[in-house]
Amino acid sequence: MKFSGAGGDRVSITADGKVLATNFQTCVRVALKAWNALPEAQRKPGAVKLGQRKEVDDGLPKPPPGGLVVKNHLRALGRDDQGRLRHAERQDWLGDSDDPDEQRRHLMAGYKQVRPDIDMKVLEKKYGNMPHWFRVSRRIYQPHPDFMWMTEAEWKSLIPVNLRVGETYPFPDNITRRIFQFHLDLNRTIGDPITQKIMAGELWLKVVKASPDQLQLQVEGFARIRDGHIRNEDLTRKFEARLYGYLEYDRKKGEFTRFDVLALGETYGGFEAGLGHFGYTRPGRSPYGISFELVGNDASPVERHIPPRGSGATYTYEGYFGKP
Amino acid sequence: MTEDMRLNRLRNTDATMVASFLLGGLLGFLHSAPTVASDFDTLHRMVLPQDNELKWVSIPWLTSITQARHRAAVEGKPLFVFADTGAGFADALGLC
Repeated sequence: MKFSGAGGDRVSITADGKVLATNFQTCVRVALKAWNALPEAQRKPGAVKLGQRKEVDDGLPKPPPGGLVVKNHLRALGRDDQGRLRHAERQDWLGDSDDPDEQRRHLMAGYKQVRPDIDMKVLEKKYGNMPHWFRVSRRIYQPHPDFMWMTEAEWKSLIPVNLRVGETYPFPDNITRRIFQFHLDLNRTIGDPITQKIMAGELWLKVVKASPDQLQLQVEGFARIRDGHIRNEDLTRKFEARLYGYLEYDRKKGEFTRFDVLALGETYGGFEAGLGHFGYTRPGRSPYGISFELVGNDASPVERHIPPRGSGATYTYEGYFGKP
Repeated sequence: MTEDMRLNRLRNTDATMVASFLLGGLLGFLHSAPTVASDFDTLHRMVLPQDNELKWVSIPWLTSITQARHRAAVEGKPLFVFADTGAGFADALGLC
């Protein structure tokens, strides 16, 4: 069975490979109906004999042995009338109409202000039907998961040699670069990971507590990231954030027990029209948050399996762990 | 790192940070930026999935089609395959 490319598939099959349903939206409902229509003899437990089969290598990178897995969530945010942060809502995006045609007109007009370099006629001809479909999708209002990996040597390099409380020292360069370039992902709430460039940024750690049992570290920093694809500097989508966080290290067990970090800032600029993602553009500067938290010993197989930014289409394993 | 080096680094960092933010027009954001101690937990939780979001993450997904087929055969159930190779959006497994 071969699956589709970008956008993915929702497919239901039987254990012996019979396709029950393939429709992206109605797969589960249709599949259950098809499944229940099969003869009982084909559905009962043990009816299908598969024999012993070897696991097939999925070709995905594997987490480094002894490494650390950190889970990210990336979320578009908004502000209420008092300027306080809140979750993003539908009206935060360009245009605000339930009528697809009106919505499209609003969006085109708004997008022209954000990206005056784009030919709107070409855009509308190519992607004219997409804005409404994008906008009503709940996924743009929800957090988007991702995973960050560190090698054993890397996470150990976070532990300071000098344990004097109040001492401040820089985050290891490799991890800093990885967070900024790959995990402050300004495109993640849309879908495709993109190539990003670091314009400025720094991360540092402060020793808050150092007891024989535990080490507590505070994270602070800032970053300015830009979409690496678009050539027009002034119009390129960017993310500017401050980073905060707390790490805790169990000195007796020799492991981190907390890795809570938050990148909080604002995105601005238009999405790359060629990707058809202009429908996600928001006017002005838009709050955007990215959380980091430790995937602990109770991690699910999924949390131990999915590589950073998924398929790795925009980076290599070596590039992710290596030097720029 | 000596104390002097550390202080110099922090001074330089502060200067760089302020300059970057001024250039980026982030004054409004800085004005309302949280203080780490008081707001961190609240804001961190705000970004994380809420109770009514990403329900499918709670499904105990298997990541091996071979394992899934064996389990389906033994338990007499169909398989639901969730496969993403590109624009994964808020999918169950991350962008996979």
